[in-house]
Parts: sequence; structure tokens; C-alpha cells
Amino acid sequence: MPWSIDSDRPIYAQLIEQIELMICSGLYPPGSRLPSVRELAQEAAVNPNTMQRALAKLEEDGLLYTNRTSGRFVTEDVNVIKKVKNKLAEEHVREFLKKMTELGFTFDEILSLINAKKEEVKDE
Amino acid sequence: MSKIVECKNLCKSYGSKKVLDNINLDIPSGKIVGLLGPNGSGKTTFIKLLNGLLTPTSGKILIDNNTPGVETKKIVSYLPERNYLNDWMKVSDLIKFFKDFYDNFNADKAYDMLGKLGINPKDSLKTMSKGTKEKVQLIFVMSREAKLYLLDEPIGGVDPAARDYIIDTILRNYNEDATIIISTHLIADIEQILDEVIFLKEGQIVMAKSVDELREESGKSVDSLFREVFKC
Amino acid sequence: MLGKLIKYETKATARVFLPLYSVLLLFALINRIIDLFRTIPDSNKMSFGKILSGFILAVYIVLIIGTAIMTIVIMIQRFYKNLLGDEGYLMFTLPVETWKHIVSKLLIAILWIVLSILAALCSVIIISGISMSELMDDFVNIIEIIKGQIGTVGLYLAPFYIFVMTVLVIITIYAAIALGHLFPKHKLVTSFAMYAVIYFVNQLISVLYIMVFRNMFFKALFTPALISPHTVQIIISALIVLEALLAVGYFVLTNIILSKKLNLE
Repeated sequence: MPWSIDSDRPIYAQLIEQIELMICSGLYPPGSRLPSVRELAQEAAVNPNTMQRALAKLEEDGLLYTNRTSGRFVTEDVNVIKKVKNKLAEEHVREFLKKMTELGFTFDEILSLINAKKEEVKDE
Repeated sequence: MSKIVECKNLCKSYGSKKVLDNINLDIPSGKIVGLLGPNGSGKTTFIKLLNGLLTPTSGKILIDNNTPGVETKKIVSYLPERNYLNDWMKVSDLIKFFKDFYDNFNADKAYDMLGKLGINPKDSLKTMSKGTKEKVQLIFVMSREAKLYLLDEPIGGVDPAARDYIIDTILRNYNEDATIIISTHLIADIEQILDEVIFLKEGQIVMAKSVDELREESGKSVDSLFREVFKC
Repeated sequence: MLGKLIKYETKATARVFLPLYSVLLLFALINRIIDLFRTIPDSNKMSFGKILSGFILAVYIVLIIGTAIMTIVIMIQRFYKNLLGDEGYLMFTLPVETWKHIVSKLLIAILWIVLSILAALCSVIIISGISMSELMDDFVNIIEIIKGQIGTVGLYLAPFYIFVMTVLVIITIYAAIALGHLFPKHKLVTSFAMYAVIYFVNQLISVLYIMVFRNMFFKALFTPALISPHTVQIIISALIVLEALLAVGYFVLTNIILSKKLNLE
């Protein structure tokens, strides 16, 4: 999954979001080892110091931990990951509902739209 | 974190024309700094003062606590905005040259990077395209284990793929004991790798801040901010 | 570091000078060989042989003069291009003191001037077909005559004087180039103008200097037959000192300009 970095917002915040996403989606499963700061910075084409800040924050939040000799790892605590997943989901849902109500949909209309989509997706 | 560059009341004039006016600046090591400003703002003059190609008219400039001279030239690696390597020497001869004069030149690294580009060490620069020449010059500069890298317009005049290569090379060779100063007006392509930016206008520093701080405060990219600050 | 600069300076200049001198020597050699094959006796009439001889001689003279001019031109161009052109960005960011750059170029310039004279002499010897023994005899004779005029000490002073004079000529050219560099517009014209100025200044200083030794100099000028070798030696020594001082002066000037007033475009 390529990194999508926007120059309009602080990059450090975007890196945190993207790594959270990578962990939640399973790209970096629980307990897996992350590439070095340098490698990640190169991949994302960002400043290594900025990447370091992002990783440090994620460590603070408990999503990552550092083993002094073998590097950085995703936490094995699935609850922590679940919490983050839920937080992200909540943000997406809130955003979605806001947009839909702006368009003038009622809650019931939104629900039936979702159900209709659910059938489509099942057929794929 | 030590200071790799220290400027106090630095001024440079050519006759009556003042090109740099009272520059006060401290740059720590381990940073990638963008030196941004329109043409004629004094960027190149500032860089030449850092590498000893110009002497100040007044004020103080220190590189790693030394005034520019033989000792600072050992730890400063400079990429000028022109073809400064001679045309007729073979690449392998140039590597020997750099090895001879610079103790901290890493020939293996240079050969490695050249190899990845498919450049034959037996070729001379004469036979290469403009884009390839610029990449070669960058390789020589980044193969030095210097404390201060000065890159003057490293991505100007090359195609977007070459730009990616150059940015990648810069990141790849970054080390936390060194500082890289990139002078450019092509901000959008490079702002993601910067720690800090210095905006230079008519010889004066109008802004010197960390990049994320700037984005947070203004809600804009450095590129947009630049356009605002330097609107004609 | 100075040694390394000298090494690279030699490499860079050899690629131009060696072929140049080889051509000269080759031409002399070919000419000599052609000469050896000419067995037709010369008559007073205009024969093809005579015309060919004349032509070859003309070409040869052009080659020698050309070589001399080329040596000086290449030397100037080397200093200008390598230090004040785009390559200056490489040279002046090397961790090397500025004076070492000037000295390395100066030494190599002297080397090539000496070699060019040797090459010219060799070519003359080859073309003239003179034998080694004849040459040695002539040489010893000339040395004796010179010894008579200027004494044994003078004999040793003379090459030293020529050396110092060569250094002075080269460093004056470098100083003129450096002075021309101070003016961003019309650098070339200014350099030539500067050379003229320096030449004039040199003449002025020389005249003042000679006034100090005026008795000896006037005697030498007006009654050359009466001068003793001793006097000549003193005159030569005085001139060596003068030229050495001037050379040092111009070296310092060039060094100051290139280290403090450098302004590469």
C-alpha cells in the first residue's frame, strides 16, 4: 500500500494515521516487526526525524513497542489494536453520517441504502 | 544536538549592493533544512559563504565552530548548480581524485550507487546526458561522510523520475550526525523531506521554522505558504 | 596535498603537451629521414628538391613558433579554466590552502616551458643532422666563451637567473589574470590591461632599483669591453634579487585575491 502524504497538513500526523491503518488492516499484523525508521522514511519519501516522531507517538499510545536489540514491533495486545480500529471506524462513520445528512438523507433512508449496498457486495 | 552552523550579524555586499543583510541563524546537526527564496534572494551567496567560496563583508560565520577554511572544507560537501566536474576525466579517475583529497570519501558507496544507475566507471562525463551528469555529481557529493551537505538546486532542470531518484538518494544517505541544507525554488517536490525551512527574501531571513509547525499553524503546505509570502 | 595537486596538474596538462611536442619531434625526425634519402646533387637552378627543402623549413619554423605560443597559451588557459571557471567550484572547495593551488600550477608551467625548450632543441639537433661529438665540441666551446665573459660563478648564476625570470613571467601572468577576475565585466580585456599595468610597474621598479647600482650598470652599458666578470656577476645577482622580490610580491597579491576576493560565477 503506497503512502499518500498531503503537504497541506502536518506530515507527522498523517504518518500516524497511515501506520495505524496499516496495523488495523493487517498489513502489519500483531507482533510483526516494522522496518527501520530509515527504511520507512525512504518508502514514504519523508524526513526520517518526522517518521521517528510518529513512531515515538505510536509507541507512547501502546500500538508499537521497541525491543532494544531487535527493533520495533506491533503490539501483540489485540485489544489495543481493536480500540484503535474502533476509533478509526467511529471517525469514518461520523464523517459519513455528517455528509449524508448534509445531502438531506434521513436515518432510515441511510439504513436502507446501506442494506441495499450490502446485498450488492454479497453478490460480488 | 550540536550546532553545525552559526551565523551572527552576517552581511555580504558587492560594492554598494547588499546581498545578505544581518543574517542571524543557528542550525543544529541531524536536520534536513530547506533554504527557500526567489532568485536573487541571496541563497547561493549564503551557501558560498558556508563553503568558503566567498568571504563575509562583516559578521561571523562558523561551521562546526570553525571559520570557513581548510578544516571546514574537510567536513562540508557541496553540490553546486553547475557542471563542476571536469569533462574529460573518467569516472574512475574522478573517484581516485576525491579519494586522494578527501579522507571521508567512501569510494565503495560511490561505485555502488553508480552501478545501480548502470554507469560504467570507464566512461567520462563528456559522454553522458545532462540528467545523468547531475546524478553523478550528486553521487560524488553524497558519498562523502561529511557533517554538512550543501545542495544548491539539486532537482532543478531534471525530469520527475530523476527528481524521485535524487530525493531518494538524499534520504538514503542521511545520517543524524550531519545536516543537509537544500537550496531550491521547487518546493512542492521537496517539502516532505524537510525538517525545517528558512525563507530568504532580499537578503534577509523572513521565516525560520520547523515544517510541521508551519503546516499546523497555517493549515497550508510550505509551497502554498511560499507563494503567499513571495507574491509578486 | 601539494604533491597531489602537482600530480593532477601534470596529468591534466600532459594530455595536451605530450602530443604537441611529439608532433614537433616527429616532424623533425621525418624531415631528417627524407633528407637522408636525398642523393641528388644540388644545382643552382630551382630544383624540386630545393623548393621542398624551403617548404619544409618554413613549416618547421611555424611549428616551433607555434609550439612556443601554444605552451604559453595553454598555461594561461589552464590557470583560468581550472581555477576561475566552473572547475573552480571543485578546486576551491578542496581542503587545500589557496597558495598550494598557485604553486602547483606555477611548478608545472615551469616544467612544460623547460620541456618545450628541450623539445625544440632536440628537434633542431635532429633536423640539422649534427653528430653527437660535433655537438659536444660546439657546446664545450660555447661554455668556455661564456666563462670568459662572466666567470665560473657567473656560469652558475646564469641558469638561476633564467629560472627566476621564468618564474616572474609566469607569476606576473597569473597576477594579471587574478586582477582581471576582480572586475566582473570584460574579464579578458581587463586581464590584458592588468598585464600591461604590471609590466609598466615592473619597468618602473627596475629603473629605481638600477639607480641604486647605477655606477656599475652605466659602466656595463657604455664600456662593455672593460667589465670584469666580477662586475657582471654582481649585476646578475642584483637582478636575481630584484626579480625574486617582484615574483614574491606578485605571488602574495595573487594569493590574496584568490583567497579573499574570489567570486566565481
